[in-house]
Amino acid sequence: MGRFGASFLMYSGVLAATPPTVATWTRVYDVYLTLGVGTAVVVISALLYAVVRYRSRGQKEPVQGAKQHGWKAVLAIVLVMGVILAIAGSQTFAGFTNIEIPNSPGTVTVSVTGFRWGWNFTYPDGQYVIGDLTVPVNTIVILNITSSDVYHTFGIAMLDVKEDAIPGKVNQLWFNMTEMGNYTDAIRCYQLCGVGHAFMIANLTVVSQSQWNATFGAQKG
Amino acid sequence: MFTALYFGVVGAVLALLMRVQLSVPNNDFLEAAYYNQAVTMHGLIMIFWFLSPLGVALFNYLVPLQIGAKDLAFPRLNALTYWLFLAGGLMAVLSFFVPGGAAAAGWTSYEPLAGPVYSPGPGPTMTYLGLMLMAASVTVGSVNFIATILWLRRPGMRLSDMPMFSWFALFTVVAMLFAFPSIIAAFLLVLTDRLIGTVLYAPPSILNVPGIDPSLLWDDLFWFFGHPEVYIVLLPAFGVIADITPAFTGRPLDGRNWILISVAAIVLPISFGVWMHHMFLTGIPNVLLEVFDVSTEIVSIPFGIIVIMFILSMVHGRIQFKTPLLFIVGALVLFIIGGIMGVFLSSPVLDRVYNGSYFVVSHFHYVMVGATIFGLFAGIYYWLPKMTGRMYNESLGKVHFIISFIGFNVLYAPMMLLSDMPRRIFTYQNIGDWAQLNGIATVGAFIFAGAQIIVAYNLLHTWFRGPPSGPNPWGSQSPEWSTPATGSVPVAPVETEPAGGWIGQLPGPQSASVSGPSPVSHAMSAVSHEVHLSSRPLTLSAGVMLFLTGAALYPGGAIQLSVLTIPPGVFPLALMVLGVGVFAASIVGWAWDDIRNKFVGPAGDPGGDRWPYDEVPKMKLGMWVFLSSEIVLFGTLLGAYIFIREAALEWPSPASVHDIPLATANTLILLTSGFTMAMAVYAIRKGDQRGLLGWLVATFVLGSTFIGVKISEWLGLFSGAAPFLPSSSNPVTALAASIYYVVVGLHGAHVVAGLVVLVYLMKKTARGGFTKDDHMSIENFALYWAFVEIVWCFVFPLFYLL
Amino acid sequence: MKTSTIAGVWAYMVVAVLTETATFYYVTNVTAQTVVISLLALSQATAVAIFYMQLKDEPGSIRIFALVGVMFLSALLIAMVASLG
Repeated sequence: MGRFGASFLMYSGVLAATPPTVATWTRVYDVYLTLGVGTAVVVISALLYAVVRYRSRGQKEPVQGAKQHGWKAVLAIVLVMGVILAIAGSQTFAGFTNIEIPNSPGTVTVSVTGFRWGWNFTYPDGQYVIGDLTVPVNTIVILNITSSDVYHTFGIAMLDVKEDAIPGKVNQLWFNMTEMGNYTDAIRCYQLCGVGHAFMIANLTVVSQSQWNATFGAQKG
Repeated sequence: MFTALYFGVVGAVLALLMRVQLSVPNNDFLEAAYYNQAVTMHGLIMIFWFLSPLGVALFNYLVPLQIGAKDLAFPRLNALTYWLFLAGGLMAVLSFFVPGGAAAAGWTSYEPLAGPVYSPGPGPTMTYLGLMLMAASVTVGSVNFIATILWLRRPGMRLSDMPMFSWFALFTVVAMLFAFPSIIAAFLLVLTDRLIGTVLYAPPSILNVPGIDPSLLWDDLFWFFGHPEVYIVLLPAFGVIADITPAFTGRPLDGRNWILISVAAIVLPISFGVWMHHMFLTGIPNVLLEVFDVSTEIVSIPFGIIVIMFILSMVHGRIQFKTPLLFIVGALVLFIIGGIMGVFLSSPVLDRVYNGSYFVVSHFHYVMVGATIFGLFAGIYYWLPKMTGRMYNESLGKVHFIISFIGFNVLYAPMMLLSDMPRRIFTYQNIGDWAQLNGIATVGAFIFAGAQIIVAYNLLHTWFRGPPSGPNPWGSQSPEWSTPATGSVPVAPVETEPAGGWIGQLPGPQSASVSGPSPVSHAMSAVSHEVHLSSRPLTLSAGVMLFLTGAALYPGGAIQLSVLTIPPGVFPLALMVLGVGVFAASIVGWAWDDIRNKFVGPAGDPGGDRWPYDEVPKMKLGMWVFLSSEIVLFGTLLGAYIFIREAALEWPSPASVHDIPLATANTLILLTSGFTMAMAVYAIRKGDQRGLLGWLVATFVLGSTFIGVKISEWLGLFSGAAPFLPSSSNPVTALAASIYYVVVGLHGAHVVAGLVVLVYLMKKTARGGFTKDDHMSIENFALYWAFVEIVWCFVFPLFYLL
Repeated sequence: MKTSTIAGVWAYMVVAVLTETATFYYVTNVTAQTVVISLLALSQATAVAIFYMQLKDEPGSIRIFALVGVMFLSALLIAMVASLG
């Protein structure tokens, strides 16, 4: 099913292969969207049908002996909703792979520090860059995210990943980018952090693994 | 109600300003700083000073009518509720014009952004102080409503006979009672940070304690309140729907008891067990993500039952398409959409996209504006003939609905698609479809706002020119229609304020209208006003407001008048002194009124249906309700302390800071005062007035000693070789001192307040004011005093020993 | 309520506080110290609630206010500490 969202549309054309986080997210989303739209259509239709079907044709007197539904109706509602929610919830639980940090060899780790108002990316070799995250292609990248001042939220909308940058705490997220390129303004802050919030933006640059290793990969001392 | 509508207009203007700013990319209509203030105050004002109070105003008018009470259980407290609410609102709005501007950290006020480092100046302090006044008002109001509904029902009105709106009122105020203490605690810590320099939410640049995470502490405290709050906003609207639907379907509600059971399930356990779905990205352990995912999904089941039952209530009816019915259907449609969006948000995986985006904005406007406002509009149209004795214009009402419904969806549906646009950005670049979607939304905002001009006209026109509606235009069986309409003859609008209530007790213009021009309507009104006019609640609230405003502004800058310069600090100090004076005079006056029995409450015991509280006096019920909110308040603060202790990797050992033997001795003194207070109750229950006085004096002496020892202890802590202060250069000490002074200080304040009340009790005892059969104040004070003792039973070991 | 009950509760409170302080000075194991002191504090609070606040004589409809408050609080405390991870 289709997805909405500007930066996704902007970049989806250039991505030959779907990044795993996006694939997982979309799989979960499709289930929720199907169930959600289905439920909404059924319930709203039922409401509108009931309202129109039982409209007054001039009667003013109260209706006598209208049916009262009891525990059977309630049980039915609980069961139907329970099934719908269980299907949705199980999809979410299956999608926790997007949240759990993979523990596999060959990952690279970059430290991200949010500050008012920008992003500082510190690489394994100790060098840091502000406003531009460079990662190797087809590699699991783990970000250690924190903040040096206030609460920020680090999000890459095109990859469906997001995590809070909180002072005094390090949170992690992971992604695996499948296509090299420069993705302008792909990274944004999603938590109000002051007057510069709207401009707390960074670029995502994806390069070949060898180029990345040559530039940033050396382990510091 | 008018006050709520006024704040609603203020909030709406702020929203329109924001929509104008966001209508096109790279706009510079509002600067970022002003935009952030607008976005913050829009949220705060709409939630706290518009939506909730509008529901509560309807409670105030209708609940006494529906349950057959003459007035609320505690009329003067009701006036206090209103004046505190108004004072808080004034402070919040005035804070725009104070240096520093209004709060700009979002209505969620995430720390440390909302703290003194990143939101400096008196403006935000004033906003948050206003919020505290509002929260105090809510607590007082909840106590009052609970006591009223449980205790003041007319004879024969069993709980199970109560109209649905009163039931929903009961559930709403119960949720308020337990939710608001935690926001009081959360903002108390913000305000001590801002006013007296504690460092509880300080950022790492100020206070670098390993392990300490101020943002997470705030999140927990705020959202424990914040999630129940959204149901607090919603439930009055559902109460309206449940109550008035039968009038238009010509059949009773389907599954009334199941609806009530569902609401009970939502309010009592579930709404307090879902708050962490606001914290899915904070790095909390995955098991919590799973638990709160499931609990959030579960909360949708009772809502599902309610909605389906509402739909079934239409079946086999003879539905009349009057304006209120249209709004009911609109509210349900919007709630279904918004609610299903909420299920998307229950997923921690999907939240990785939606958190902090316009999808969330769309979701909560669908439920909080769509369902709530449409539901409340249904109620306002429906009860307007009751309030005014006049009928509104049906065609205008329908036009209002149609334009509102279209405008609403044009406004918020595009936001659903903006799931990658961050909330609260004041401008954006022209990328993707952001520009188009935002443009459409702004058009929708103006359509939606324009529709409200229609309702404003319709309301005013009805009030002054509408055709008489007759006593029961809808043919409803509900008890509120069995009394004559409030304003069957032309009266000033204020006359129709909620029963006995918000403005009704104000001496001055409003009360003049009560006793003056319309004696007929007054006599006909369901509520009698004249027995309890007291200006104390007004002056008391004004005193608090003056003091807090002064505190927020202190020390401020120099003020240059034409000839003389007022040095910094003098003006705020003057405000504070004036405020304390007015406050003290009000308290003393209030007590003096009581001692002389000047205040005549609803006379005698009116009798009535009180199950399950037949044997419980009204005052005691009120006291217990109040104490249950105090349990949550102190518990939350102690929880904050435990949280900080758990998080901090190091902590000063108690023995290095405190004089343990002295503290132990002081604890014994306080515990002994608990004993003497229990003996005081024992004495008066036997009718022994001299004994009562003796034990009260003993309690007072012991309590004062406790406070005296505490003061000397604190002076020692301030001045020791290594002062134990929030300003200490050792960050761990600073943090430990901060939480110590806040919690122990708040307990001390409770003791001092208790001592003040003791003075009043001793005075009244000395005049023979208490007898064996009439000594409720003593019993209640004993409850309060014992509660203070219980708190100390935890404070002492937690702060001095562990 | 009899005076002997009132005095008895008071005596227990005194003993409990003294025991707490003694535990602080003489029990060096931190876990044991925390557990003993916490249990004593809980027992004190319960005693005051039951006797001085007369919950033992009140109907369930009053007790529920205290119980609900304590219940919500426990939920908050557990989840707050758990959220630290």
